[in-house]
Amino acid sequence: MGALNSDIIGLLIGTVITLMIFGYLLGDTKLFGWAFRWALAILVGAGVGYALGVALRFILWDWILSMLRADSVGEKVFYVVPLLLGCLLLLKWFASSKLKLFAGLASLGNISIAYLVGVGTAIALSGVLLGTLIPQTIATGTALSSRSGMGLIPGLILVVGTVTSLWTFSSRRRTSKDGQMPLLAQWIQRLGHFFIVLALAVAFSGALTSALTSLVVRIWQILELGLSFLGG
Amino acid sequence: MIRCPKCGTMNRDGSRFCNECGTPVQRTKVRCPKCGTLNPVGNVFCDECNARLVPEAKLPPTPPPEKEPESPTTPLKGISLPVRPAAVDSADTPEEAELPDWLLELTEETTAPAAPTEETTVPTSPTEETVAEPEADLPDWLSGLTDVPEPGPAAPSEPETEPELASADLPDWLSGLGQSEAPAAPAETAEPETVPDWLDGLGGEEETSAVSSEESAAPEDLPDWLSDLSGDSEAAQPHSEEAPQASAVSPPSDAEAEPAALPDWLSALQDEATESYTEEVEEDWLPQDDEEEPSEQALPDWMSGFAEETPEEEPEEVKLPDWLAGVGGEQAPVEAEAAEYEETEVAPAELPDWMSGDEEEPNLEAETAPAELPDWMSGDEEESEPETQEASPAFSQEAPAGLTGAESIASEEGEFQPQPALPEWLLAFADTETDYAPSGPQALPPWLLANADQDTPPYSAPPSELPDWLLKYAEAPPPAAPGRQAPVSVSPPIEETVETEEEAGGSPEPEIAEAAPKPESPRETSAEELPDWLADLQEEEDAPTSEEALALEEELTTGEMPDWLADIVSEKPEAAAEPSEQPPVEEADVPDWLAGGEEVSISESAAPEESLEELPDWLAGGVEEEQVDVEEAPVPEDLPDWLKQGKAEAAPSPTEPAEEIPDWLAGIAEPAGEESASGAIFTEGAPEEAQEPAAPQKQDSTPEWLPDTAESNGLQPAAPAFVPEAGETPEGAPAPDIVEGAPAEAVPDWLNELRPGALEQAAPPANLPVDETLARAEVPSWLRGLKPPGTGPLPSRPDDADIPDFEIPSEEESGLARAEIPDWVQALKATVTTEPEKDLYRQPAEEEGPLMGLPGTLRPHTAVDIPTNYEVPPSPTIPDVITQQAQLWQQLLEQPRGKARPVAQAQKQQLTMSVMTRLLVAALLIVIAALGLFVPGQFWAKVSPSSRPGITKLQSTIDALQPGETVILAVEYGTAEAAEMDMIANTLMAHLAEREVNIIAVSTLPEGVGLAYELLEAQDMYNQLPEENSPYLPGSYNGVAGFLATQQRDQNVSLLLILSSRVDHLTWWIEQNLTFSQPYPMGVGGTAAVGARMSPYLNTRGTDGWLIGFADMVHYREQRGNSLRLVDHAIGLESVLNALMFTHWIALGLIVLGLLYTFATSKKRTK
Repeated sequence: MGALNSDIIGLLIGTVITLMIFGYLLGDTKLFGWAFRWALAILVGAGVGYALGVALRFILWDWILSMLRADSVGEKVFYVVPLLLGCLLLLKWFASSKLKLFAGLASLGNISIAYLVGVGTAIALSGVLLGTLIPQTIATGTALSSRSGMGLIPGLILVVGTVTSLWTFSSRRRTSKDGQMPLLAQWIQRLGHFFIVLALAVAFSGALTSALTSLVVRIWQILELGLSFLGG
Repeated sequence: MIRCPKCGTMNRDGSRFCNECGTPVQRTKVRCPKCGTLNPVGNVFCDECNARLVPEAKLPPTPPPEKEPESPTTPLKGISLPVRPAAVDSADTPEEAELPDWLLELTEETTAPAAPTEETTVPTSPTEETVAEPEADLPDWLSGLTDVPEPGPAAPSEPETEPELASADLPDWLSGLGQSEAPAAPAETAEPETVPDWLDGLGGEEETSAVSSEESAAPEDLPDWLSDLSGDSEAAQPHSEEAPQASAVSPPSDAEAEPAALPDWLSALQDEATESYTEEVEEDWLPQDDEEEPSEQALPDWMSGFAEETPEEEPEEVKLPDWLAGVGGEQAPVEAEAAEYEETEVAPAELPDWMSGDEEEPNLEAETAPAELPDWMSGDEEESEPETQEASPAFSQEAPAGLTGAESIASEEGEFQPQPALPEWLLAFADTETDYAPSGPQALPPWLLANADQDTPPYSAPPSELPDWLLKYAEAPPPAAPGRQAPVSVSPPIEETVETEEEAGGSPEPEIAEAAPKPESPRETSAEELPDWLADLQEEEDAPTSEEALALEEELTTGEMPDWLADIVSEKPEAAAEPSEQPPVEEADVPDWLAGGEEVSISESAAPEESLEELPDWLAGGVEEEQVDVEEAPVPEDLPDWLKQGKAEAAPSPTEPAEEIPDWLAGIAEPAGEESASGAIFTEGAPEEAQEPAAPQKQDSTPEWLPDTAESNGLQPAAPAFVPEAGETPEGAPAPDIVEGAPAEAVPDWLNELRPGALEQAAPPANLPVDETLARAEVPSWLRGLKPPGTGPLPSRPDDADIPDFEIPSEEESGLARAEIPDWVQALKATVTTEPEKDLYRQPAEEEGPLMGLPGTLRPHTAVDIPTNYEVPPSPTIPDVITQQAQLWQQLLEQPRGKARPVAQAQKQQLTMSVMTRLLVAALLIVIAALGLFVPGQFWAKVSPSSRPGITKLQSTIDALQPGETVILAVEYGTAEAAEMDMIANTLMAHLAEREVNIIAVSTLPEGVGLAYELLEAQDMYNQLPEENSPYLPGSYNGVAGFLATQQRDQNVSLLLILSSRVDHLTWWIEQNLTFSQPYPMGVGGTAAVGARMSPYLNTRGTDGWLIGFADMVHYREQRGNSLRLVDHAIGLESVLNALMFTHWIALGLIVLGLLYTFATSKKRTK
């Protein structure tokens, strides 16, 4: 019962918050606006608080414990360096300080930022190249190398969609002297626009589906809660 | 750079005053006819608008041979400021067609064949010097000019290039000069009985002129050489008309038509000239384009005989006066200049009046001269009119500047006024000449050097060789001047002179002597053959009884007196000496400026002050300055070679040592010394005194620069006539006398400036009575080109403001008529076109600020701020609404801060249509979803596994997992997506749980860690992640990369299952997994939103199945055979899926309605 009660309490709170969020439908008014903003604040606050707790628990605590538990100096150094970089990053908090001393210390945080940016860029580049561009290119080529006629169509569509989309983004500068684009370029651009709109429509449909799914699931859960109250 | 006329300092362009001595320097600029910009002289195109400053020159149409004789009648209007119109510096493309005639003729002379025309009646001997060494024919001052490296490449010694130049652009008067330079002008002794045709022609001309000019001075009084000129000027056709007459005497050639009218001394000269240019006598003054007759055509009659003469062959001839010889010698530099300006284009229209008006004013007498001549010439003319009209009225009109000036000096009556101002072309000329003697005053001016080169003393000829017109004068022995010392310049007997000349036959100087008229001329022997005008002259020579006349008589008796001087001497009314058989001229006939020269030559210790008072300005000025020059630098080393040679020859002369000789005269005096002292008749022009023979000619009147010469040579210093003294000039060149006692003011300024050192000692221009018109005359470009090397630009034309206190002397003061500037020069005259500058910058004083009280400190420059064509735009009409708004804003801004201001208040939310729409849509969806949950049945269709390859593949992948294998579970969704993802995650976790695999749950999201643990807990699973590792992966993809790297090293992972509702997080895992060489098999469970965007990754390599969305979850469960009825759920998944489908339809319907509504509303808005 206790567990049920906790589940029921949770469902109730969730139901209330959901309705509060739905209060946005009525507009940001005094009557309904506070509910929405209040629900939104709870959501954000709970999420941030939960994130902070996770960080403290799984980052600092575990990291510091691991350092302390380290047997060798090398291991400790392994944990100390990230901590030191993290501490330097915290100095950025003094960037807006009126004290020049602390303001100067804030610049030390740039070391950590530089490390993050540098390493992150390198990792991102490698991931983009090896995980996106090359696989996508290979996939496109594979689609075009299809021996079957029907298999070639998706490949052609993929290539045409990719090329026209890129053309659409890059053809803005290819204007003639009188400001008008060539007719062929205009048609290519329109085709690229079509593919882009199509992709956005698919993305929107997925988002809409996800939203409707969430709505349905939430309504389902609320109804289940109500039914549980009614029929047990 | 601007050369200071006083000290010669080179000043920067634009200087108004000399940086050294403060003398105002003149600047000459050419105003652009188009824009009015003042451009420096020499610019062909305007600096501002590129308009052509000098009009395009066109070659005068080549006159047909029949009409060529017309040109010699060109009346000499003095110096008409010929200007090289264009391409002064561009001598790269010598085009003969563009060259002025005078240049072309000069060039033709250089290329003229040296072989004498044996056909002529006058046998001549070729002058080997001129043939072999064309430069030798050039006067030094011209040859020196030709040495000027900067103007042009053509050297005078290069006859190949000169012909083309000279033949085209040389003015006639210069072309005539240039002919004397023609090579191979044989000067063989002419037969006395044979009257040269060209002399006959001249005689005819002379008669014509005498008849036509009855009102004016009798042309009969003119000396031959002047009457010849007058005859040329009187009629444009007389030459052609007289040609037959000449042909009757001499072979029928054009060149022989005129000589009949020439005086003997000119005929002798002409004889020599005709030897080489027999065919061109008639066209002496005409611009000759005919290359066959280049030199002779262009050579003036009066100078043609000076061209080439060899003293060896005709030493006894009456020598040409030096000053004439010098003039004749000027052709050489002109020719050299022609080479410099190969591209010079002189259009016929641009020709000076004195050149172009040949036919127009053929018979002009002295009365008409002033109107046409520049002031400096006309004034002389006027002065010389009363008496010199008899002697040389025509000459005064036609003679070039130098000649005219000399003539005017020779005039007896009119008081010679100092030349107020020289034409700038002469000034420039003087500048250039003085540039050749930069070493000091001891150096001779080039024009003297040139003459000295040709200082073959014609006066050394015996009386028998004198021309007729001199013989007349010789008949009247001049009485000795009582008040004077015996002239030292008494020339030795002519025989001695001849011997001397013969001894010095090899000298290069005797060209002038060769040009002396033939003594054998029939006109010399009998007075009956004299022209009328000479006869008149002879009549006037009746009573010269003055001592001067005696002195002159002595000189003339020796035969050393130049004919032209003797002629002039005979004109003196006061002269009582009667002409003798010998050339001696009565001293009374000798003009003062001549007689004075004698006396000056006698007086070695002449007081310069007194002489200055008596000397004419043109001499006095030179005297004053020359005296200083002599004192400063009497170094004989500076003398030119020909002077040195002359000195060497003059060594036996008992005259003063060379150190005392003025340098510029020493060269003349020394060579003359060898010849005879009788030739020392200096033409120091003092017209007024020349007409006053009673006035004693004092030695004191000798200018300072002349006594030195006289002292050194025992003779009078040479005037511009350049008559070497008899005793020193080996060639016996006649030295023109300088009339003693001539007032200093009588020295023309142009001579002052011409003499060496004049620049250094010249008085400030402001003190000089310079005619402004003349002072501002533009220096012709062709003269500017004569500028010697190492010198700066010629004095530029000053602007009005550049001449402080510059007063133009009136005609009464200067005694000179205002020079007439040719029209073509007037066209170039700079005119002030700009209005007086408006006082645009005068601004009121600043009333405030740090500049308070300072007027015009921030003056606006309208020229910059506002274009000239700026039009003030009409004031825009401001709508009243904007005005009211502005006024309102102004009122608001003017309110004090303390006052409460209106604050925007939030409008009360009303249940608008949009809110109702949102509520309606939300209610509709909720109702449909709720209703769908309760709708029994299955409204959705089952899908085949083939249609969902991801589901099947993922199921297969998970089914392939063996118990105990490690599966990395990446929970990348939050609580917001948990409703959807929980159903998917639980489905997959249930499957994994069935496979009894180890789960390592991690997340890059803090909330993901909790959700992961919730999923594990729901399946009774726990996280296999080591304790030292955190399930939270901070650092986004960095954390993903680091985690995967660690797992790659330590763990053997069989599957990487990514549960993500976020595209970026899913991308991190996919990309970083693919970066490894052996990426883990990946299964993806995501929301519908992720699936649509991640399809490219899902359909490519690396993914081993996916489960996207609620529908896939349902299908996944059905494929696995799981029941759609969940535990503890009254509503099954099929009902949820029905509700989801309904809501999708409703959503689709709403989208369509919204789209239609949007279209409908947009059309309305469009309408």
